[in-house]
Amino acid sequence: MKLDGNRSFSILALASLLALSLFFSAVLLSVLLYASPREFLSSLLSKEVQFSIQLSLATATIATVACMFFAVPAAYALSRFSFRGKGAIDLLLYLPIGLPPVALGAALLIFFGTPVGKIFSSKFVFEVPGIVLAQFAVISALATKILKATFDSIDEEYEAVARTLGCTRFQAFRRVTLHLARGGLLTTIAISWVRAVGEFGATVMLAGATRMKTETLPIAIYLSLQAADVVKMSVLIIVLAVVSLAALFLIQRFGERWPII
Amino acid sequence: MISVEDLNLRLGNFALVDVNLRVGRGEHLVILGPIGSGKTTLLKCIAGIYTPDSGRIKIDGRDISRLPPEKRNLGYVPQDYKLFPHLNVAENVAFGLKVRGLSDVGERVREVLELVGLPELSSRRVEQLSEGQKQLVAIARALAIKPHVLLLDEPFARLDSVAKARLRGELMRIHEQTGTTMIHVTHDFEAALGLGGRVAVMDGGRLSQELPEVARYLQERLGYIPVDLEGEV
Repeated sequence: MKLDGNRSFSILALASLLALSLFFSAVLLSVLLYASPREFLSSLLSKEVQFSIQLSLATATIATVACMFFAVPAAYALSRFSFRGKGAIDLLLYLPIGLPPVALGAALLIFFGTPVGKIFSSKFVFEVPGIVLAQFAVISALATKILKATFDSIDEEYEAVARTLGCTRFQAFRRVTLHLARGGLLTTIAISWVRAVGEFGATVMLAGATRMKTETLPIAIYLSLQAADVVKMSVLIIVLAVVSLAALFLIQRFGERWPII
Repeated sequence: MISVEDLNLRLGNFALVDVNLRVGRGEHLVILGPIGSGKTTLLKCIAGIYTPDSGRIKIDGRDISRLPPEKRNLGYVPQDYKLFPHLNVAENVAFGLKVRGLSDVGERVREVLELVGLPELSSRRVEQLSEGQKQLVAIARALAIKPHVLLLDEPFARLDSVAKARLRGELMRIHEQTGTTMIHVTHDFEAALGLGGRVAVMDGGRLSQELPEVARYLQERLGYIPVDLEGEV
């Protein structure tokens, strides 16, 4: 039987989707079935796993809030203003996206070795605030880029109309642009938070991998692997997957109803 | 009265050149000109969205050239309305009143929606409106703040012939009832000439309000001179 072009393309597209879904399902299933329910529960309730869950959620949330605090106005400035050096700044912000997180963490470590960095190094190097800083460094450029694309897609004339109706530039941003950017904002928050929860490379370089101190979920996975504790490792992977998927699902499902300022 | 004196603005390859304009209080001025002639740029200069390189814009003798848009109290209705999609009709109309922190917002919103003939649509979402209704809501939003001048950018551009005829009637009625000074730019010669306002023409960034020039321009474009302007050439 000879297939026409439309049909064979549809079959190819669906087959690719199925193959990808099967691949990730098989990987996840192998992790899920590794530990018995009793082993799973006991490992999940252990002090160390509980600590790493709480530390990851707390640091990722702080890093995401801090990131949005800078990324929203920075992205707006990149999208709306013309100034000398804008191209260079735009390019500079690709660096943390293109650079491996481990290199970014190493760069931060080198920075804290400089005379200026030394003033703050005791607060960040191998300390919990170092985790937040590493997560912030990894997600902030990404968040700025996504938000810039969001603001670029919003016609500036909405703000112009709002200003003729009496808004200052900031009021027009708050009352109009921010609402029109809601979808992009929620996506950025979700992606940044999930990326921060899963951050490993920069964190391990700057904050180290100290049990029950700088032990986030990815670092706990790394430490479990070193200790050959595969049961704990499988539990941590499942927790990480559930936390990430739950956050993305909640934001997709309910995000549109959340108030914006 | 609003006046524009020797206004110049360069935007890339395009320039407004020595634009002079006078519109009396309560007058309805229609600026005719082909697409790309600088009509929208001129409206945006008046509204404060663009800052001219030189020249002055005055309202009742007061120079507003350097004031930001929010301090000018001018109503601006862009070509594609730019109704705020996250707000319903009443909220759109109330927008400028709320920004100003005015009381009795609800009453003013009702009043303006009645003026444009859409009181029953106050709770409607803007994406549920027809093009003609969107245009009227945008006009109501601009009129709600009682502007010194209403600036209309190509109000007929997105309408079919039936909606165009209806809007023309509505604009004439609104102008008659409110006495608001209107500057209305369009490339639609036929639609604009039916409005009964004074006509200026714009081409290549230059504007003329002189009747002989306007009449000559219309003859070139339309092939005839409208009855009101006969005898000027």
